[in-house]
Amino acid sequence: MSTEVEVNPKRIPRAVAFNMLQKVAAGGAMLSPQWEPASSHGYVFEQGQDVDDVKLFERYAQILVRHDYLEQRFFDRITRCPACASQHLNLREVCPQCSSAQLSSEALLHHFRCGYVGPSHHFSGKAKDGRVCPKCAGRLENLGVDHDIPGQSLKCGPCQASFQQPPVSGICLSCGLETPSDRLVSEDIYSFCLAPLGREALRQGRLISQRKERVVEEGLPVLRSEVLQNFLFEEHKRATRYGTPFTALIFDIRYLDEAKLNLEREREIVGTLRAMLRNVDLLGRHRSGMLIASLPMTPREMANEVLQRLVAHFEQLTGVQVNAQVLLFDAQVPFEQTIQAAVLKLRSF
Amino acid sequence: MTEFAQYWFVPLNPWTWLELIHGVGLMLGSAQLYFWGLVFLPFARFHFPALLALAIRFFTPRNARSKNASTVCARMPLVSVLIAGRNERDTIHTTITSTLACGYEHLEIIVVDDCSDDDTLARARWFERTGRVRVFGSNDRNGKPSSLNIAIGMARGEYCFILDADSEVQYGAVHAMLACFDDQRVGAVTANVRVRNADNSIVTRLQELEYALNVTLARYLRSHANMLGIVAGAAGMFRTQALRDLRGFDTGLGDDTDMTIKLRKQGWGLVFSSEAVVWTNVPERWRALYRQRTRWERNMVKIRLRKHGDLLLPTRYGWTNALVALDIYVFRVALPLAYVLAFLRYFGTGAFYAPALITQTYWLAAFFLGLKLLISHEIFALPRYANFWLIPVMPMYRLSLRLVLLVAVLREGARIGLKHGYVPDKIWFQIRHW
Repeated sequence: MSTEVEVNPKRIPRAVAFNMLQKVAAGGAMLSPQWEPASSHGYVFEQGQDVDDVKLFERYAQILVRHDYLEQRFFDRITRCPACASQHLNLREVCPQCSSAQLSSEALLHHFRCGYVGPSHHFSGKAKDGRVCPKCAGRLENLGVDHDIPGQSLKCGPCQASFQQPPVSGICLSCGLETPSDRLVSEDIYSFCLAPLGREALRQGRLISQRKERVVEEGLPVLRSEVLQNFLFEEHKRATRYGTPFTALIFDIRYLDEAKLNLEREREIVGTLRAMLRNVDLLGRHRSGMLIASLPMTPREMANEVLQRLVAHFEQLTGVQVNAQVLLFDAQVPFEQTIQAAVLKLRSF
Repeated sequence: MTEFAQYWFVPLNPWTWLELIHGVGLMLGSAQLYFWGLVFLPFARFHFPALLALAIRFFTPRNARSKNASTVCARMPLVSVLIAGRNERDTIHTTITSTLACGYEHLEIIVVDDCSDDDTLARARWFERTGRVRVFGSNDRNGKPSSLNIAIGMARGEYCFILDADSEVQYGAVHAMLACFDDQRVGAVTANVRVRNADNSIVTRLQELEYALNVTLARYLRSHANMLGIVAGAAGMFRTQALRDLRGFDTGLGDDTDMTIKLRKQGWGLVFSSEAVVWTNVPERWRALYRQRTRWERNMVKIRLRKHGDLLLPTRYGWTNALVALDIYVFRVALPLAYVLAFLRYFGTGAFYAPALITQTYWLAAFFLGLKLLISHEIFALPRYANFWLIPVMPMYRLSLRLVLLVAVLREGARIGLKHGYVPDKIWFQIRHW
């Protein structure tokens, strides 16, 4: 992998891109990171990758995500040294005063009668059984009645500071830098799976390059995700500028029998939508299994009517469940935020 | 109404004053017990020292008052600021912030949250990121003395500055208190507690005048006479070793009074620092004021008279301590009682036929209070002149408070209503009730 590509953060060689799509398809349509403790990077996507290979792979994968060939899914979060980016960190609780990790825990005892508070070893008097208060020489007999434990405390060996909540600090095993936990670099890592365009590219054995192909999905008259986003952005801008109503419908399509090929069923749903919507309404993909129909110059009430009609129709379909919702775009709220809220709501059904 | 006004403004008549002066002259030349016991003695006790304070102030060289020359300040010892509080969400932020900004760098703040119901603990923990604040959250309610004992156990400083969670430290206060520890015999220093919410109501305005006399001026004098009877629980700095030798505070009410007397018994000197200003909120309504003062007064009886009654023995703790105790017995207990009895007798002998004496005495008291307030203002620049218009009602305020508190003293003396909500039940049933 590392030898066949040149490093260019903005572009990806076509052969390499296609190769990556093939690798993702070979991994069951999803390629997830694998933990690699020996590597300072912490994970690899393929056996034998070094740190640079992984970075390059991720960079290219991100380009493919931007061009709708791949989708990314959150995998995990990894913590790194801010100086050398190594994940070889030793995280431990330290003293807030001197940063020493030499801490010992001690339970405090509180004698009710005289109010003396101290660590439990202060109460080990000469009495054969039980504890004796060093202040009033009274015996501590019943926990909760004559004494109690107000809390646990940590004590630092070198500076003798006592505290309850020690800060966490990470020391990098690679470069030796010690960093407070809130200054460590936290990085999200993702799995990558094939998007419909990626599947289509693999089916045709080439990357999709013609303009029409770039705009509309192969085999389905729906706009690609990136294109739809641009249209929505422009329409939102225009509606905000002139104060015209702008709504959209979002559809969450779930196939009850996942084993069957969904393309035919999706084509049927898209056909219905195209037939029932106006020719000025745009229909596009938001993500796998999710479509958005933009309804320019349509107030909320009318959008609701359209939604009712469509839902009534979809209820007659078998083997598929379509949940839908009206998106009401507000001038004050970014349209991505409105969509995200609707997706969360639909997914929570 | 007309008759009332006539009696009230009777001092406006110069003849009545001449009569009074003539009467006082007669009494000075006689052996009247009432006069010497009930008029001259309290007058001398409460008013002569104010003149003495003025003299001390004028005859103390200015460079002797400077804290710049302090050897303790020069070596910058670590100071642990101990704050114990419960349900102090509205004030804890200001308290910690003002302490961090008090101008003394080498300090650590230890906050002990006494199992608050609100978010005091979270607000205090926010400051842990500064690296100068450490917070301990108790699992259960333990009361203020035990919370302070937790803080003392966590303290690493050579000096412990105990601060109320609703107080505000003025810039330079820590320096001023530390400077007093130049004298190796000094075990604790009490700050000059000033009223922060003075403009909120008449009650708080009156308390500003009262604090100027009873806190600032009185403690200044007592400090010079080595007779300081209290290191304020709201703001006092202690040698940590002195606190540890005494194994911290005892549980129950009146922890500050108790600690002060124990330090005196140990032979430590106590000092008042007028430059160490700490601002605190005082009760804004009569009811709250009455409750607070009742608590203080009952603590006085319990701690000073019962628990540490042996302070009165000069052979055990010295003449100074005996005088401190005697002062309490005479002027806080016996004299108010004697006043009540004297008034009863006076009214019983047809006092209403000679009301001029009452009003004259009242105006005389107001005059001398005004004089003391002027002296206080001259020395400490407080109280503010803006509240001087309340001087005519000050004697009434003090007298009514004293009479109400006399009831508290008698109730405590008779052990009626000992239990107080400030002490958790689990502790109340274990402690010895003095």
